[in-house]
Amino acid sequence: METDDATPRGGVSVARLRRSATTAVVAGFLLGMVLLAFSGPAGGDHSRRIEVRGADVRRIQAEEGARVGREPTAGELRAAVEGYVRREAWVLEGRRSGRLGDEATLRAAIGSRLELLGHAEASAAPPTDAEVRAFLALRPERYAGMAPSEAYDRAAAELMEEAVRAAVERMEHEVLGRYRIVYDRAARAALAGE
Amino acid sequence: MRVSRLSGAWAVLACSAAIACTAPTAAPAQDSGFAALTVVEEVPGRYRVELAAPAGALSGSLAVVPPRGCAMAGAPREVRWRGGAAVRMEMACDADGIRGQALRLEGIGDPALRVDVELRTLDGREYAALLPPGVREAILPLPPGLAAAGAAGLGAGFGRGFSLPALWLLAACAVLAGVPGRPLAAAAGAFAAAYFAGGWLAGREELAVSLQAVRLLTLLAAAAAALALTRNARAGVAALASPWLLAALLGALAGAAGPSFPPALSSVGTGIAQAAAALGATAVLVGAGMVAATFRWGARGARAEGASSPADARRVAAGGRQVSSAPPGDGAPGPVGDQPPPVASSSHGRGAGQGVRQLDVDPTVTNSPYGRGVPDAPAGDRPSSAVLLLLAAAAALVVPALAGLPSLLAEPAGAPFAELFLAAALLGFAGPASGLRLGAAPAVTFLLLLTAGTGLPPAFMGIEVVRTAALAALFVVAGRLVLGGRVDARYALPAAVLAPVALGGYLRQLMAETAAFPVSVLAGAALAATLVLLAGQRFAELVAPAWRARAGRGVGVGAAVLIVAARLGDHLRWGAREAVAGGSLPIPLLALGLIAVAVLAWPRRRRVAEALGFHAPKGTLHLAALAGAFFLLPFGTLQVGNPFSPPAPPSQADHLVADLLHGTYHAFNLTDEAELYDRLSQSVTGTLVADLYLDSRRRLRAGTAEGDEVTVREVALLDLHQAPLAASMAGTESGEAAFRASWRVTARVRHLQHVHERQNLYAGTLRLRMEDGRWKLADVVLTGEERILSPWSSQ
Repeated sequence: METDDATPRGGVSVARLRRSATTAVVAGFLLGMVLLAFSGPAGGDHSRRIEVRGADVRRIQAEEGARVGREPTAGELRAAVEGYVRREAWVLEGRRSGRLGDEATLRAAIGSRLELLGHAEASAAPPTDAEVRAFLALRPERYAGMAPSEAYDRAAAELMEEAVRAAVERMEHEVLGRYRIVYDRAARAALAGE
Repeated sequence: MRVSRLSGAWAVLACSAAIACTAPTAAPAQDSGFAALTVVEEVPGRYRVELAAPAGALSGSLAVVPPRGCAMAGAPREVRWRGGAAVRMEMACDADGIRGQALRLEGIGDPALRVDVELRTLDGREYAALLPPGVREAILPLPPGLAAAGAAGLGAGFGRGFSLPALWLLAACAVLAGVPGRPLAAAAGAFAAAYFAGGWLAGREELAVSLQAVRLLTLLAAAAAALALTRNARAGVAALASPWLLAALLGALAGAAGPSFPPALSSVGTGIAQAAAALGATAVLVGAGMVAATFRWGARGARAEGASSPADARRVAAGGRQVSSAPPGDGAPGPVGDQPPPVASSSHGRGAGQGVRQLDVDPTVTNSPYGRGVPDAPAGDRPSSAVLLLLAAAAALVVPALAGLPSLLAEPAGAPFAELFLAAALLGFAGPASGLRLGAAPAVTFLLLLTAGTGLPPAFMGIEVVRTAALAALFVVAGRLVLGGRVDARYALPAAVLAPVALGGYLRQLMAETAAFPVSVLAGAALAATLVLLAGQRFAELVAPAWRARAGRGVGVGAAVLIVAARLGDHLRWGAREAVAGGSLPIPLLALGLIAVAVLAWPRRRRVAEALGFHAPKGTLHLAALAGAFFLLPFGTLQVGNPFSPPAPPSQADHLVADLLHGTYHAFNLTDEAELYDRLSQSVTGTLVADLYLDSRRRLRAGTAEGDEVTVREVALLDLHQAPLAASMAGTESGEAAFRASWRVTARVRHLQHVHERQNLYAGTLRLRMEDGRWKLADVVLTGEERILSPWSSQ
């Protein structure tokens, strides 16, 4: 029933050809396995990937320590690392979108754009009088002891500040969401204070 | 000649040296800052133009002068703040649009300031550029042509294929197995085209696939083919008879894994219409090929099983109710590479067709072209289980959408419900919380896009309705399996039509609501469930025919039990939610009506008819009505006051407060403001509604733009302590209770380009009061609040 031993082609039997081919395929498969196993972590497109390594975290820790004059707290370190991730993302975003320029230029251009547009968006829709009054009504203890007009102005300013921060954060997330941010084991350990 | 060449070289060198000496050697200029110009096409021919600049660079009012063919629509709106200013305006342009035009910018005095330009058009293109310092005119380029974008995508697909070693292994297997060059070339083309489609989908964030998953699947396919070759050459041939199918699947996954790899595939350069046309063409080609392959395999299988003519074979393959009494034939062996040997093709046919139809068990009828009632081929001639599973998994996810429905419509009484049951694996038991993570959104997405790409169910149905419809339809499908084919086609057909659409809609809704990780969870769980089911089928195939029916029914019973359990769980949660609020009692009018219908339609003994020897057919309306009553219990209810509802004792306070907070915040998911206000007033007393509405809406929507969606996903009560009625809560009355609580509100914020979660943490004192027969929030004093954005790290 099998045709393996039939149909000689070009002077070589199909069965013999297949035996050789089988050996080659199995060997190639094993070789492929080895190659894949040693090809490093799965990455995808590196133009959409930001890697934070342990060395990056240690460097940022040293820079932050030099800036504040003491060992940075875990929160400060985390914020500094996130700032680093943002700066890297702005560079990648600048390149992805076709802007030309060095890293510093791209970083500054994207960062400025997000800040400006965030402010513009929040300033275009300031909190309404009803929102300010509702804000005050639900937080009476925070403004206890202030004159009503002072409490109102303070609440309005807080609301505006929060709106600007939220708008900028949203725009930053629009960009950051396009990238895969990966912390390697050493970076995670360094951030965890180990 | 030599002299002349030498002289020319010297001349070039001399000129270069002169240029180098005379050129300015100043250091690159430092950027003094940036302004931002954004142009967004909002409706065809109308553009929103926004220019923002830092305060130090302003020399007057900011303005953008419309180019020729464009005019200002309405007055520009300028806003200023301490650090800068911005102007926003609308422009209406003629048919030629704004592309290729120059926008002149005014009001920027700093000559060193650079302008950052971004353009987004309705067809999905993006363009960005940094203008040189001092340049105040932004020229918007013309879009690239379709041919250029398509060529870039296909080139990238081929290029990516060369970088996957396992694909080379697959190709080697195909060559060694004697697959001719034309199918191999078709496979390469399928890979590139599917890569184009996958990359575009992922670029639109419709699909998320990790490269690891692509490697794993490719390796698995290569391993299966290689192992099949080592064991049985014909099985290898069978596995690779249509390599384009596998190549298309892998191409789509590879494309989705690297969406930005080819520039033409991201939103930069390729318009939505162009990419959608390419996607549609790919889907049509894949679908037509699948149907043709399925029918061809069926026809060959039928010929091998003794069909008398090609016409018979086609009829059999198309699902015709031909009773095949002829014994299975071995068929004449054919040359490898010309066409698959009959035994191999028959096995292959089972791999693609029977593999998904074997559950449709009915040992008394041999009406299927895929071997029902046909003895198994000799074990040595079958493809390996791994190959079978791989092919069946691919076929099971695409065939139901394309091949199942036509045959179903052609022969409703013999409908192949097993395909739909496989589709059930996508949802029924592998919900988003199942926790399985295989890290991929594989061919499930094809099914999703092919069956419910219209987005119809989510467009007019809520998630609960879609889930109910899906579960009910699947219950009917499971019932078909349990009863072995005795469900009337009148009920089975709508279920069969509804199941894929509802499933697709539900899956789409889930995809829309979640980011990449839950999609991976869902798709991975679905794939795992499908594979488990196919493994069960394979097991059933190996046991004696008499056991197959039992195995199929066993699976059906299990499915039915799980579906009923899932729905019962929904009902219990619904009942608990309704009961804990107290005050009102839902009367399920619709369910009661359906039970009444079931009672009326219940088959009765007709003694006279029995005496006369008539046996009227038993209807199934009563069963359908009972099932409907069960599945539709929370719908069509009437809320009546509950006179026995006592004030919540302290032991239930956490449930009560959690439910009130849940009701309060989830009301913000309603888009109709009036309905929102009404819903809010069910949890909040009248005086507090306005303040809570304004404050919560502002916090939930902080930082969102027009078109963004904010959906409250979870309200978690973190801490609760009974508190004395505080003096600050003026007007406290008897029958009230106060609690100090902290809670967390998690909302999903869907922007144009991405989705993320936001959490607001609150701490404060809540005062509860009985009003209109139920407990409500009477006063809230917030003492702490914090907004937390979810980290954007995806790993």
